[in-house]
Amino acid sequence: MTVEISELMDGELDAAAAETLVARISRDPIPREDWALYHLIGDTLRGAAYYSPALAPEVSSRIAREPAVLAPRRGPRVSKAARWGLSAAASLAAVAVVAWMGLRGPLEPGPAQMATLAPAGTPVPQPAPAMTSAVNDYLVAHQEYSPRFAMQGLAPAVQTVAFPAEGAAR
Amino acid sequence: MGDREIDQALVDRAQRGDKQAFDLLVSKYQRKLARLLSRFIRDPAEIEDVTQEAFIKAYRALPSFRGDSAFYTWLYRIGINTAKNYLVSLGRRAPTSTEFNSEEAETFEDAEHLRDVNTPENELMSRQIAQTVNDTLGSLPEELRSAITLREIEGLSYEDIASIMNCPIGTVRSRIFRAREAIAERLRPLLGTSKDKRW
Amino acid sequence: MKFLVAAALMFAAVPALAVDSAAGEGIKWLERMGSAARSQNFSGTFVYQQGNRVDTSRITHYVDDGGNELEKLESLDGPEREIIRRNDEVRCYIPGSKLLKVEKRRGRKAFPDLLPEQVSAVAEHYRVRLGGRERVAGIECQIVILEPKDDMRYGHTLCADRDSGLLVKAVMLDENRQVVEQFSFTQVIIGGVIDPAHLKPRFAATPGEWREERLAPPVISETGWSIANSPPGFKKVMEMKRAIPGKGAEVTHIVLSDGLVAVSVFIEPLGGDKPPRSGFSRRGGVNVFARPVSEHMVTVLGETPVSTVQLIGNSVSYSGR
Repeated sequence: MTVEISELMDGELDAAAAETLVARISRDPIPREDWALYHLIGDTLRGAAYYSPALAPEVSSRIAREPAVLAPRRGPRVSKAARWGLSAAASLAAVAVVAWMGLRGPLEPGPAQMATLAPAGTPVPQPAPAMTSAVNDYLVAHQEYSPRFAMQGLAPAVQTVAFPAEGAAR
Repeated sequence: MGDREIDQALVDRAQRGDKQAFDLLVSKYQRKLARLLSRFIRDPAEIEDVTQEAFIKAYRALPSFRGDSAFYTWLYRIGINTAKNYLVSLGRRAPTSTEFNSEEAETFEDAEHLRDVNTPENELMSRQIAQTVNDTLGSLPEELRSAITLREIEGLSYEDIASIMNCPIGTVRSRIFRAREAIAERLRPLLGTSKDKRW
Repeated sequence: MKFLVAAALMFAAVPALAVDSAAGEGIKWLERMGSAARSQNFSGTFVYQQGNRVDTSRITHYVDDGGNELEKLESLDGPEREIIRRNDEVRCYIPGSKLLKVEKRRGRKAFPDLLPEQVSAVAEHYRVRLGGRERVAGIECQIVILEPKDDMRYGHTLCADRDSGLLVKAVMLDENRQVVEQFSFTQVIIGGVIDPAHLKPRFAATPGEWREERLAPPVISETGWSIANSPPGFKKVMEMKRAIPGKGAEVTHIVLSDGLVAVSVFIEPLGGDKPPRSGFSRRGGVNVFARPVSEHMVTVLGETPVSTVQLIGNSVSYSGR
């Protein structure tokens, strides 16, 4: 993780990774120490020889006693996160492979499977499932964003409203 | 180069209530700000006090920071104001704007002046830190030394460094990190920080 | 910040990533697979298996003189469905419900813009190496193996046509090296001429008889929820509040991905009509973990080992507005 701190301070992490890392080091004393140390090294290399071990802790404890500043949310609702999301998703499909998933409806609930699959081309008969699990709705929504679904534009089919006529079949 | 986005990310978090994000900014800019203020304030103990005040003021003023300028530029202006007000409150003369030139303050290297920045009890440690950093740097393999120098002193991006050193970006990342860690390892015992429990 | 486009340009200028040659070969194959899927004409039948379910589909893919991608996917079992895609626009025909769904897949292009940078990101967390050769659907294939470097993700075995690089078979293996999912062509023709008429929809979705739904692209925004811990390489790629069919209130949906697989985090306010129960469950290759956090139920699911969804699920918290 410290190599990421090194990257972070050089501004070389992409926005999403930076966000995650910043969240993490805000909370954890060890990476905070590395952050502090790496900056000390940089400053020292640039000739800023100043040592005041009490300064930062003092500021920190005084701020802890301050009321939290909360800036009003400014700017459009679609924030940096949106830009990260889009650019990362576009490149998500990087290793997307052809038709990783076939067209299908929501997955049925069922016992945990250790799949022993017949060779491709010999379909395995299916038990008649009941489509009631709350998780199924999530599974469908998830599939849409999985990079392995990024191929083939399958999501609209998968996200389809339940097939009323078919009911429990598939 | 990339500083602005990092600082902005930390400011955003601080503005949403994450005080420790602000601590990270303090950690990053404390020396730079202190050196700046030492142009106005000679006494090392006062330098520390005024620098602290400046950070507190900046924290309180965070809601008004819009991101139009870089965080350090904004912090820097708050620092100057804090120092001026401090001097005025003591009845001392505040430097006029001609005496104080922003760029000059940033880059000014006055060895004699710098010696006064540390309090006497911190002066020794400060020298030891500088010595350790320089010694370790000197003992690093050439490619690690170049990488960290290009990054920290020339301020180049990984991309540019990769170009100059004719190696992939991943190698640049790794060299800079290894150089930092090599120096950090020598500094940790000196500073008494905990290095166990790595992630 | 690193901009992916800039990185890609940079990669064009410097020598390839210094990985050992076998891994380098494997990575080249991954790139070929993406590129072939995007640029080759092909037509065939494939089977997708997960757990007990098996789906057979037919696919036709064609690139016209203008470089436009046209593609048709038809289901060969289960409810009749057909998807016609032209570049970003996807039209899904469901004759059983007389429903036509139209969507513009911006940012999630079906055929990837393969940045070398992203492939090398996968190489950071998977050992990429060449396997031997295999014959699939009458095609001579090169096997490429992706072994996870940690136990937070599953392994993959890919088989690509040696001539074009098109992926013809892919298997995902769980921690016990059991197959959890498999995709495979049973018959395919790669390259050659395809009559664009084959890509027309079979159903004339006559207005009046058919209902047309235009799906608006999702609005990505910060939701105030954050995820402190995720396995190395998993980055947030999407975050939004959305309506999920089947759920009452709006649900927060965050997706993390390592470039190969994704993990979704869903957060719904408690009190809805059918919130998932907390705990673990599994659906074929997908592990699910749910736990309550601040008046909400957090559900994490993905094509990963249990430890991954658990790690992520345990680190979700509300941090903002």
